Formats: sequence, C-alpha cells, structure tokens
Amino acid sequence: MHTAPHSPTKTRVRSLRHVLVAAFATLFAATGLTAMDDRHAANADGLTYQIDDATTSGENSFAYTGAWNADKGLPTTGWYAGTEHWSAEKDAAVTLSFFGTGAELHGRKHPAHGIYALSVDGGPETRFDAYAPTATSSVLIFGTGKLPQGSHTLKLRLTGDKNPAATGIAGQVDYAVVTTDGSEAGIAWAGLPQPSQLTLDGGALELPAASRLFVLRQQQGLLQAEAERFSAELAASGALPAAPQIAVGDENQIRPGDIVLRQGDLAGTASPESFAIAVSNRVDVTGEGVQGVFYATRQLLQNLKASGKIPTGNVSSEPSVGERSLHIDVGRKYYTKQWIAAQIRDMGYVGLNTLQLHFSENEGFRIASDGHPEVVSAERLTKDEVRELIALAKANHIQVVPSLDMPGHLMQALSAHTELRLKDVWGRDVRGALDITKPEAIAFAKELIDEYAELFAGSTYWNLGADEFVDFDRMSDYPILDNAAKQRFGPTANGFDLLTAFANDMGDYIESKGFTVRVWNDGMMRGNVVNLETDMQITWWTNWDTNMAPLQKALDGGYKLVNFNDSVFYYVLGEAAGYKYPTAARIWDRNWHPGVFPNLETGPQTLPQPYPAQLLGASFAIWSDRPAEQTEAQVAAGVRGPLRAMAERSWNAGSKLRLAQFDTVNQMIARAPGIEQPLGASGNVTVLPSAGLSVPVKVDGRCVAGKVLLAVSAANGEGVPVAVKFASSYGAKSFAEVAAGKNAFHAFSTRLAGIPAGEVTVSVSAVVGGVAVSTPQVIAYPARTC
Amino acid sequence: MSKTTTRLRIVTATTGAIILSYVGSAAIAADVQHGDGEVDVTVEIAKIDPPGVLALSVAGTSAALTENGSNDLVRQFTGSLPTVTVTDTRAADTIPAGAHWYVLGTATDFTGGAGKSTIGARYLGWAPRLIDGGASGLVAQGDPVTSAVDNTPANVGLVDRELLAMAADSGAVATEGKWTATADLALRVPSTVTPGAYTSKLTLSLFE
Repeated sequence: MHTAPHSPTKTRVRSLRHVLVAAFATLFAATGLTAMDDRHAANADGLTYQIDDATTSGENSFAYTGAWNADKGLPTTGWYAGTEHWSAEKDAAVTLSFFGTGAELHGRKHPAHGIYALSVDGGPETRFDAYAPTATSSVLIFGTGKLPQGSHTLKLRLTGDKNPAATGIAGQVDYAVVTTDGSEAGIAWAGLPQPSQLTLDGGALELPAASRLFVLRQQQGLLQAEAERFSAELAASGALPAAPQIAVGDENQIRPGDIVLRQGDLAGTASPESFAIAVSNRVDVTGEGVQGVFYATRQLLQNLKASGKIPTGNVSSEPSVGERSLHIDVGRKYYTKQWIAAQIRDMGYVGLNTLQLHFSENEGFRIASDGHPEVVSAERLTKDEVRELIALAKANHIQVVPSLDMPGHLMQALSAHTELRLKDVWGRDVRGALDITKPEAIAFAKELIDEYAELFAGSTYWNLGADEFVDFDRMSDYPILDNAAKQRFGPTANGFDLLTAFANDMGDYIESKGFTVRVWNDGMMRGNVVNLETDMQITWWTNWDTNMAPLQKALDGGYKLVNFNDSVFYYVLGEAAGYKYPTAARIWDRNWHPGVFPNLETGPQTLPQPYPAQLLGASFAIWSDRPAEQTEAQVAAGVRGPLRAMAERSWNAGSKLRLAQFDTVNQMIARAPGIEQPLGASGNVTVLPSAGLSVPVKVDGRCVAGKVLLAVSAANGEGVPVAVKFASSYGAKSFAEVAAGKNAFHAFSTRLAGIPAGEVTVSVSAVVGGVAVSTPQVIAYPARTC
Repeated sequence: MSKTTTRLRIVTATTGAIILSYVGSAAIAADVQHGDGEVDVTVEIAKIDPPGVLALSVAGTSAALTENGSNDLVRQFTGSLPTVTVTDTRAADTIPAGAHWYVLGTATDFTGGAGKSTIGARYLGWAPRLIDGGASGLVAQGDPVTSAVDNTPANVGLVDRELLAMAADSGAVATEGKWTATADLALRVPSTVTPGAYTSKLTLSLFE
C-alpha cells in the first residue's frame, strides 16, 4: 500500500537532523531497546544537538542573508549530512538561532576563505580567519562559551577581509552543535502524553514498600482488573519491590501510601479517557471512565520509572481527539505475535488506543484462513494468535481495526486466482487488482470478508482500503472498468465511479456485520456519478497527486476523518517511495497537531482548534515495503521516538514540551512494563471488612441567650450521598440527602438553662454498590448548664 | 461574645397588615456589641481588607402580615421576614477554633390597638427557613416557635430570644462567605382580639 512513486521532494521535509550526541544518549539511540536503568542519565550534563546548515526552520535553525549557495549530495565524510552553505559575497551573513546554553559553529577552512566576524546575541564581533593552505573539514569556527539557558543567536558575517595568503574572501558553514543544560528539560512530570493541566508543588512522593492499591468496595467489579494489572506492572517496572496488595474497602480505610483507583465524574470533560491524579502522602487516581484510570496509572508508572518518585500536587488530562492510532503493515512483512504484543503494550503506555492491523498486501497475506488457505503466506499469524493479540489490546484499552485492502493490493490473495485479476487495455494483469466487474470476484471478496469479520467480531471499524487500485492517473488504460461503469451508471460514469460503487457495496456488506467502514482517500471523491456513502469514514493519508480530492471536499461531504499524514507519520521500511523515516524532531519541526493534514501542492490543509467533530483522530503508520531492510527490533526502536511524539501531540493537540524535553521524557520512561520482562503475578486482592458508613457525628451543648441549644452535626465521609436522621430528647431532624463530603447540622432548642446528660441517636443510610447500608450511631453527651 | 442587632418595629391591625420598621439597636447584656445601626437597607459593597468582618443585614424595612387561615376560635395573620443575610469576610484561619455565629430573634408585645390594647409577643410565632445555607450543610435553621394559642411544642412565641440560624463552626464555613434566611411569621390570637392597628418590634441579633 502507498507505494505510489511520488517524488520525495513533495514531502517538503528539510534535512533537519537532531542527533543526540550526549554520551549517555548513544545508549538509547543505538538499539532503543535498552532498559532505562540509570534513571539519572537523562538528568546528566545536558543534551547536545547537531544542527545541519540546511536546517532553516524549527527551534534550532539557520537563517541566511545575502547570496549563499546551498550544496547537497556531498560526501558525508567531509560534509555533515552531505550539505553545506557557502558564499563569496562581502557582508553575506548567517544567523543560528538556538535554545540552550551554548553553540559551536563548524565548517571548512579553505585557501579561498576570508575572515569572518562572529557575534553572539547582537554583541561585539570576534574575527576568525578561515584561511588554510589546504581545505580542512569540520573545523570549529566559533563557540559561544557558556550562556544562560535560553534563546540566543550566533551570527557569522563575511567581512570581505582576508589573510594575505588567501585567494578569496569566501566563507562556508556545515553544521552547528547546540548544548542545553539538563534543566532545560525542567521536567516537572515525566509522563507521555503530558497531562493537560499540571499543578505541582515541587515535592515528590516515594511510595513506601507497604503501599497498597486501593479500590472502593462499590467499584471492585469495575476496577479490579485494572488494579491487578497495575500491581503486576509496578513490580515488573521495579517501582516497588513486590507486586502491591490490592485492598478493597471503604473511604475511611484508605491509608497514607495507598494508591487509590477510582472512577468518578470529572468536571469539564466527557471523555472516558480523561483522568485526574492527586498526589499527597497518598495517590488518588480518578478516571472519568476505566480508560482514564488506565491512562492515569501509565503516568504513575512512567514517573516511577523516571525518578522512583511521583511529583506531589494535582494533574489532570483530557485527549484532544478520541482516536490515536498505529497502523502496522503485517502483510508485507511477517511480524511475530510477541513483537506485535510488545507494540500493543508500548502503545497503551503512551495513550494510543487504536491498532490497525493491515494483514493483506501484494507481498503477503499473514493471517491463517480456513476458507481460502491458498491465499495465505507461509509465514503467518494463526487465528488463535490474533485472538490473543485482540484480547491483549482490549486489556490495554486498544481497539483493533482489521485492514483487508481491496480491490487493490491483493496480489498475494490473487496468486492462486488468476481468473479474478483485472486486465488492462493490453490484456495484462494489473498488479494486485481484483476485477470488480466479475460477480465471482465480488463473491471471493465477500468470502474473505466473512471469514475475517468473524475473527475480528467486536471491533468497531474495518478498513476496506479502496486505494491505489489502478494507476488513477491513467484510467484510460482500464477499459473494462470504464465500460462497466458506463453500463451501470450511464455515459458520464468512469472507473472512479465503479471503484466508489465497489466501496459502497462492500461497505454496506461489512456494515451489515457490525463494523463502521473506512477507506483511504486517494481514489475517493473523483467520480462523476457515484458518491461515497456518508457513513463511510476516510483515512486521509496523502495529497501527493494534485488529482486527488482536497480535504475540504471530504469536509463538505460530511465524512469523518482520521489523519494519517504521510509526510509526517509514514515509517516506510527501506525509506521506499521517497519517504524518510519519521523522527520526533521532524514532527516537532512541522509543529504537527491532529489538524495538520498532508499539504496540497498549493499550501497546507490545516483544521484549527476546536476541531470539527468530523476529525476523529490521527495515526502513525508502519509500512513494510522493503521487509528485509529492518529487523523487528530495528523497527521497534525506529518508531518509538516519532510514535511517542505523535502520541504526545495527538493527545495534547500539539505539545507544551520543547523537543529536548520530549526527548528527555521519552528516554526516562523507557519501555512499557511487560516488554523487557514478563509481568508476574499481581498482589493479592483483600476485601477489607466493612467499617460501616464513615459519617462521624459531633454533639455539642451550646449556651445561647442563657439556654442550651443541642448542636448535632454529621459529616458525610462516604463517596456517595447518605440520608441522615438525628433523634434527641428535644426533637428529631431528617436530612433526605447529604452529598458526599457535605454535612448534616441541626441545633435543637431545649429552652432549658440546663440539661442532663443524654444521647443522640443518629441513623445514616446509603445505597453503596447497589446495596442499602445503614449504620446507626448513639452519641452520648454530657450534662450542660448555662 | 459579640453581636449585631437589628430591631424591627411591627405595626399591625387586625383588619390589615403588620408593618415592620427598623429602629436603633441596643446592646444586650453580657454580649459584646459587634456593630449596629439604623438598618436603612441600602447596600454599599465596599472593599473589605483582612481580617474582614462578620455582619448582619436585612433586605427590607417592613413586612405585611395579612389575615389568612382564621377560624372561629383563632384569627391568624401571616407574612414573611425580609431576607436576613449574614456575611463573613474573615479569613478562616483568623477565626478562633470552636467559634460559631448565630442569629436570634425576639419580639415586643404588639401595641396600638383600639383603646391602647396590646397583643402579647407570645402570640407571634415563626418558622425559620434557610434560603442559602451554604454548600457544606454546616448552617442550620432554628426550630419553629409557635403561638401561645397552639397546643404544640415550643408554643412560647417570640417572647424570649429564639434561634433563626446557626453555624456549626464559623471557621469551617467562612469560605462560603454569605448565607441567607427568612422566617414564616404567624400571629395567631384568640378570635376575641380587639380590632385595630398594632405594632411590634422584632429584633434580630447576630452573635458569635
């Protein structure tokens, strides 16, 4: 899929290279698999970035004034990233803007180079003689020295002066090295995605070894599974020496050091993924839904991984879009169940909630089939393995979207079905294309759908593909399609209409099996007669070809959309089809957020916030075009940074983190528990004996105007409303509903100057977990005389 | 102990309304006067600097009691107390532990009927009612007080000082800042009462 031979220049990606070269960083960069055992590493002496001369946008970038020449494709042995800028014009200048504590400028010394003037932050100029009798690469031209952490500029100007021996006044820059101190990071909360709101007090909670996970009695059914997994994860991540016990009890049984998991309504959000965490001498997690509890516990695991502690204060978080996705092309390359399982854990760890499994491609069909075993590749997942993965995904609050692309990209499935292949005008097979004019081809497609609809039953979405069926720019090459379209839809219809009708028909068929159906955008909204049904959703990956419909057309058509922006998120093995491996730096450089769609040739396509309801979310994509180019481990390491960048920026509609901060947090949180070593058993679940309703009562004889008033108050310490009744010798008072955390209070007039000792009977009742609970209390009070 | 007092003059006629008006106040023995004055119900919301004040105000100068629900034995006149507002602008941590504010009300006998006859305050009852008691639930309305003609508990009338409202703990509720209450007034007298216009004074006092 998506191998369209478009020019890499269309991706508009500059050759920005943010390369971590701090000593410790190689530890992670090398394999990306290494456990982040040394949690101090990310707080070491800082991070260093190499900025190529071709980098002209982003937080660290060059700006050129005057006549400069940009060369590329030079040997990387002598030119960083194979590029340089040079000028022979007096007063031509280049300014490096950077954020950090210092920068060094590197370039060539050369017989024709003159004398430069260098200045920092607009200050006085320092001269540098770039002449050398023989050309020398990677020479340090100038270093700023130590500056306060912040935004700075370093300017180089060609003075027009030269060494008497020099043959010219020219100058050249190759790259800069920017240093930031470790604090730039100022990582207050080591979590990805960062919470939307952070109110921290600078302290940190170290969990005592006796920490328990605490679940309220009435929420045991809802949250026990979350608590059990979290318990095992705390042990596996090393945050606690052993899996903590899970206590199920009442509000008044919570102890310091406990981590309380709770589902409850949060103000200002309707997303079940939203959460709030309050950290004091204990941790109180509240999820709007169970998913929110899950994501909150990820944040706790990450902080514990990073520092062994949890910062104290309050955080809350709400995703900007409901779907945050990873697409994996498991068709072209065989990935093991274990590898996919690890990706699922890593996805959930950083708030991704959708996995699109693209299991059929020209080069492979990788889930076993009972109905059509002839279509399946030798290396494939068994159905049981797929079921295990679906269950694991579900436990990690990830939905799985089957992607069974048709009518194109079916070469493997058609390998044993030559009779179903589409022919072009010359009578040749069209690579991977199903002849949708043949009833038997439609029947074959439906049989495949039947079988996998059963396997993926319970999934919400189904990706039908409908992309790159034929060469859309040469529709006249496929008269079979054109003729069938005109026969069915009249003389103005064309092959696009026939493709759209296929998508609609198959869409209806798949919908009848309980799925909402999605198609890729490239071949849609291009016909003359047939409209894509509006209940179909569009996974928008590209506008590389100007003939493709623009985003606005889909918005006007009312289609729901998922942003797969290929120029940002396509991780194509072997960097095939002109794609470059995505990096966090490039994602930051693009200032990507879920509304940033692929550019049109005429400009960007960006949906500003607040996003329209049609924007469902965004997705990263692994395409296995050249499957042998990377091993499973290399793919996992390669995608982790950019995938997490996408996770951060899709949850937060951008990011408050600087790139360096993101890089730091990304390293600090390491990988999800359960990947490097399997999860062990969770702690025991202990249901604490009920301590009754926690509604403490106070009785106080008060002298008012010389007579005794008997003041009775009851504080509702439960998480639910309670009914309260006071009965005394001086009257009774009922409160039908005292909200959680509120009080019942009454002052009984005795009209007596003195009262004898007595008792107040207080009845408290509530419905807890669907069960009526009543706790009578008898409170004695002493005699009182005014 | 400190207090704020507001005294109301109640004028009544068995054929018509009871009029309330405010007059000056007087300190009550053993209580520390916290503030008082003519209750012209003009409100000026001034900036208040810490430590702030605890204060009482009443949103009206009169209340009309009208005949309502009389029978052969008892004539009844009902109306409502103007809204009583307690405000507290003090910081919670400046309020002594255990302090609790409360508002009391007491009425004088009604005078001014034909032939200078009077109606005892014991015939005027009330049923305090919180309008806004704050979110915490820590402010209570006082128990009802009924007319001496009734055979009910607390049929003592507003002779003595009776509770309109009380805070369980001033410090605990201070952040709520403002509370309002009213009371349903009921003058219930034997049907033999002499017709005429009567006046009573109802004094509201805020203590802590």
